[in-house]
Amino acid sequence: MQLSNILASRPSLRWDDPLLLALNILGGKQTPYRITVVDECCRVKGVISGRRILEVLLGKRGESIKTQKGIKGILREPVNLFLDEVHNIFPENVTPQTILQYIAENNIGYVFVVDQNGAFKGVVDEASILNKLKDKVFDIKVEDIMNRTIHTVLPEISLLEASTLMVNFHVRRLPVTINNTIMGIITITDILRHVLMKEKHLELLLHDVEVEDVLKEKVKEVMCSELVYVNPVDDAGEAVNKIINNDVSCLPVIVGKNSLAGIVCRVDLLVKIIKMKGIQTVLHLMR
Amino acid sequence: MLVGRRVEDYIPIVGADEVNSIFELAERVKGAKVIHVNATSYGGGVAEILKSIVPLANSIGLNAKWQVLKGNPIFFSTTKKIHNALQGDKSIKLTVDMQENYLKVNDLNAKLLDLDGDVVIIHDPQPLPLINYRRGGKWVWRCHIDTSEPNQNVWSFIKPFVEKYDALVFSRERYVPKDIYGAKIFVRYPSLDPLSEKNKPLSQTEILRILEKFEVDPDKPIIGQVARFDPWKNTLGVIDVYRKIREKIPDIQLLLIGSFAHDDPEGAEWYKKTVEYASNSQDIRILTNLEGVGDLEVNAFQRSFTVALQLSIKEGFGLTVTEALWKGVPVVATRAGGIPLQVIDGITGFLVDNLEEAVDRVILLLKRCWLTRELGRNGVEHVKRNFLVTKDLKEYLRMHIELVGK
Repeated sequence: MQLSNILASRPSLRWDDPLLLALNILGGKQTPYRITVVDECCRVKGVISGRRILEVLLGKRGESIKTQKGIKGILREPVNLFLDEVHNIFPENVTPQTILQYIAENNIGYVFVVDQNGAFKGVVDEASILNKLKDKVFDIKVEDIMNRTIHTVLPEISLLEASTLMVNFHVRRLPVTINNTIMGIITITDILRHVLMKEKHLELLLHDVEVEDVLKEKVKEVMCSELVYVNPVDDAGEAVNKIINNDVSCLPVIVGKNSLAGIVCRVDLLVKIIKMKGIQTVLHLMR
Repeated sequence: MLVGRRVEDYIPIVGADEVNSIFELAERVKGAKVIHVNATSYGGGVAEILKSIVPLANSIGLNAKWQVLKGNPIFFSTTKKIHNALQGDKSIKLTVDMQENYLKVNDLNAKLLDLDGDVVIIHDPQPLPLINYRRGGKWVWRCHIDTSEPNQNVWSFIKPFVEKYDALVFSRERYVPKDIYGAKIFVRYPSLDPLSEKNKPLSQTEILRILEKFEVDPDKPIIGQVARFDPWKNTLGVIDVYRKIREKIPDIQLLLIGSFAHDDPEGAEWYKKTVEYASNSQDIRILTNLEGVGDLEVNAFQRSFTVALQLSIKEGFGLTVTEALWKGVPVVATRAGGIPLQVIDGITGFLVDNLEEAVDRVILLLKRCWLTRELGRNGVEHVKRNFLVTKDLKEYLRMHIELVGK
């Protein structure tokens, strides 16, 4: 297995591109959750995630600038002001084994790969690795790897409330339930897309309006209700297949009639498979 | 003493573009008064970072200031208990007297310290209650320890202060206490200053001079751990590992380097325990600031190691690991705290689950010089790509911009 087999080219931004461009990519049709930010020589400067942009919209980031310039102004500021420095940069001669080990040890979803001059070559992330683990059986039940501690929301709450909960709980998505029966899932990407898609929301970007007006719709109007899910007794391989085939970052785990038992997301799935099966087995399965 | 290094001095290491991007960020917060408060001017990673960050911030147009809290022995005994409890020691209870003394010392310090900054950054739990004396500005609590599973009794005493801050900074996302809700949270890794006294390049002559001064034989292999003397660093375990190695490699030497910080009253007790435990072993040297071991000496000792050990039970980030890696020394370490971010098993060192594994890995490295060199080279590159002070400085600037930027 060569590194090139799992090295994915993901979109990147220049450090002086406006935050608005990051919002366009993260809320666009192709939905990466994070974007690498590079300099003029294509060296990695940092990463900007959907959560960071949502925090900016909510006034949890860029507070001082937002006070002075409003949302319209802040979205025109360079992405460099809001990115996170990265501490997981690897050279291109690194082996897939080392990357799998690093991801499992540190419970992280991605690393950046650079050439000998430091230029960005691509990322190895949870999706690019899981893509190589499609159609495999792991002899691990979903219930042994799923996360049972879940924050949920009601379908009637506003997008603003859901956004605030996601930021405060440090989660990317919230299952939408009524009496533990799952109705849908709302993600940060759904919210960013909502901000971009509705024509009236261009107001937010062109003029200064309050974010409350843009995120006043109810969760049920925006959530994804065509759910792809797994059962607790399914093999982890089934979860991998559904995540990759449907291009989603997580799956609800359902028992009985749509009763929510847990959630399984890409990073947890990958890290737990590596830890439970061992790196050599996973590498063998990836071939 | 804060040496007046300038950001431009780092161009040969990180490149001109990186330095230019620091200036660009700094432009947004030029002239901002930033006050850092911690509990000790030397010993431990926090003082290490502030020694670098504060002069660098001044060199790019900020008005940065570092102040150290003054306290009595009861205060530091209490704050060490708080530190241990926040790191998970469930047996600790704070008496009413301890709590009152903790608050009283902070009250006295509030009168002595300049707290009128645009941004006031309070490091670790010792000065935490100073938030009660806020007169203005944005206040940030920078927590350098692992607070993922705190002692709930002590945490419930601490938490009301934490909740008053405008922003909280932790070293890893998983260290953020689960019941902190709604706060502005930043996750920031500590960093290494490659030009500091502790990390700057040294000539072989200088290293030899320092080894000879402390009667360390430069012709015999040396392994060592640099760490404070406290139960979390597992210094006694390091001695056990050394004894096992010595059975196979009789001329091996062990250096245990530590320092006594103002805010660490347990240090003397654990130093004594360590000395007693090592007493019947040959070739173990336990050296501290009391014997004249300063940053330069630590630098020389780390460069003399064939293998560095870090067998901590708990760590925040483990900056001494970064330091060893930067000096081209592979590290054999436990998986505590931020160590696995730095020690990549088989690439920059070895991660171990127990002392037996540590023995095996150290012997492997002592016997195979080519492997030691290879891992050492990888370690330097890993730190250079990921953990240098310029990244930390940019993160601080972004946080300042968030809070008071233009």
